Amino acid sequence: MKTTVTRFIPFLIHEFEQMESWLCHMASRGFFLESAFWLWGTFEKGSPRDRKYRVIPKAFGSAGTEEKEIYAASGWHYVCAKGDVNIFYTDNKTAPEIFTDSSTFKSHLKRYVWLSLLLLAVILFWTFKIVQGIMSLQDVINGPVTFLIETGALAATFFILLIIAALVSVLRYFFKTIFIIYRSARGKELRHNMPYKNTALRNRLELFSILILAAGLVAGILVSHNLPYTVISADKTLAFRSGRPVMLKEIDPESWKKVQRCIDSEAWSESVDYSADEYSDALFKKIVNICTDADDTIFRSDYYEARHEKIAAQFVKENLSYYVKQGNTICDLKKFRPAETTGLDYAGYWEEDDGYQHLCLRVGTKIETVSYSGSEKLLEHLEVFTDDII
Amino acid sequence: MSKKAFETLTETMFYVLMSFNRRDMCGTEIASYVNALTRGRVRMGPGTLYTILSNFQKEGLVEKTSSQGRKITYTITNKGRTVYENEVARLKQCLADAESEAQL
Repeated sequence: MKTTVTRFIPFLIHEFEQMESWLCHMASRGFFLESAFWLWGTFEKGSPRDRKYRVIPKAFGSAGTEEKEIYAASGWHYVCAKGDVNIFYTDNKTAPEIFTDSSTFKSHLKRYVWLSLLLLAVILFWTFKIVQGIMSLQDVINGPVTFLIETGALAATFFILLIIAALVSVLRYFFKTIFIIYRSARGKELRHNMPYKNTALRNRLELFSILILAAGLVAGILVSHNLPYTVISADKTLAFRSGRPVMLKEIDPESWKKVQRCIDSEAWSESVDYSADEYSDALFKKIVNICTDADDTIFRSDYYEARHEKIAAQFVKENLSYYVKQGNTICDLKKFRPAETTGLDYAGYWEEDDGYQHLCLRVGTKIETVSYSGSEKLLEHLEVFTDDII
Repeated sequence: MSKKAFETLTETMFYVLMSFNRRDMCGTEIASYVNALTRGRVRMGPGTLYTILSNFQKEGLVEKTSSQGRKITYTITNKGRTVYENEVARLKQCLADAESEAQL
């Protein structure tokens, strides 16, 4: 009775020289390739034999009947195609090599080389576009917590790592292809009996890491879908109320009246905008953002409740470093207004050249940040903010 | 493969064109013919032969005459014959040059 087993083929198309060494090794252990699909091969179990395999990149698609006939007449039998290569074997030790002339081998490889270059260009282009699309340079420069706090950042992180892992594979493919092109241009023939163990091990590890990252990506997508996320936008005119953070009405009642009129009447003018959202993610238990824009007044306040104090401290650090890089000087309120900041772990204030005022407070895992541009002075309302967070 | 590439044939290309001198042949017959003619000196691998036949067909040096099952028979075209004859003349000239050089 014929026994077949399925085995993982740990080689990519461009590693055809290593793949044939591995197939010869498998035959010496009594496993003879019958068919292959993607990364898997079906092997017939038999008596170990000294069988020679040759893995040849396709020049004209899959081997046709005439091609198989010519090969068979020389002692080479067609096994199957795997991706862009055809696989042949012979048990005849005196059978001539498939290519006995380097110029024909070079001509045979032409299609493979062009396809490789095309594939490479497509992969590099899309890698660049995807990476460019999902992250801005500022997010990366600013720090990991700032980047991860973005919605769907967990999935994005795995996606980026996946892209990096894929990029490593693509680069290996690129250099190997360049090497094959170089060898082909120099009229060199196919190399046989190549060592394959390191390549196989590296490919296994690479595939394993890609699978892990892909699983992480799926998990990240599922997590971001299942996290509570509420968006209260102006057009829904919900009177959003939250214990935290401080809202515009608490420091600038006049501007708030304009917003409130819009909320009550459900008639929004272009000069007044109000939005709020509340969600959580992998790093923060709770995030509340409120953004109000009423004529000349711009108010944005955010409340964060981190899952760990270190995360909160790191986030504040990254947030401040961003503004420092923009040329702002941060005033440490713990030093200059100690009485009003008692109980806070951190309190910072800075004002931009255009009059935009910022406040950043932290107590343990809780952070409150405020950005305001309007007629009021934020520091005059410092007590409101400290009371809110403590 | 460009037409210019066939201005000078490789040894295997030359023997493939030579094999059509007497009659039309299929791929396996060409391989056996060349092997017998050169007493095994020129061994033509199946990949080499198949690539040569495909390139020759593309450049119009040979063409298919019949196809019976798996067996496809080729014949040489006028263009192929001209290329072959030019190569023979070139090789004769090379040989004549070598002989006259040896007599000096």
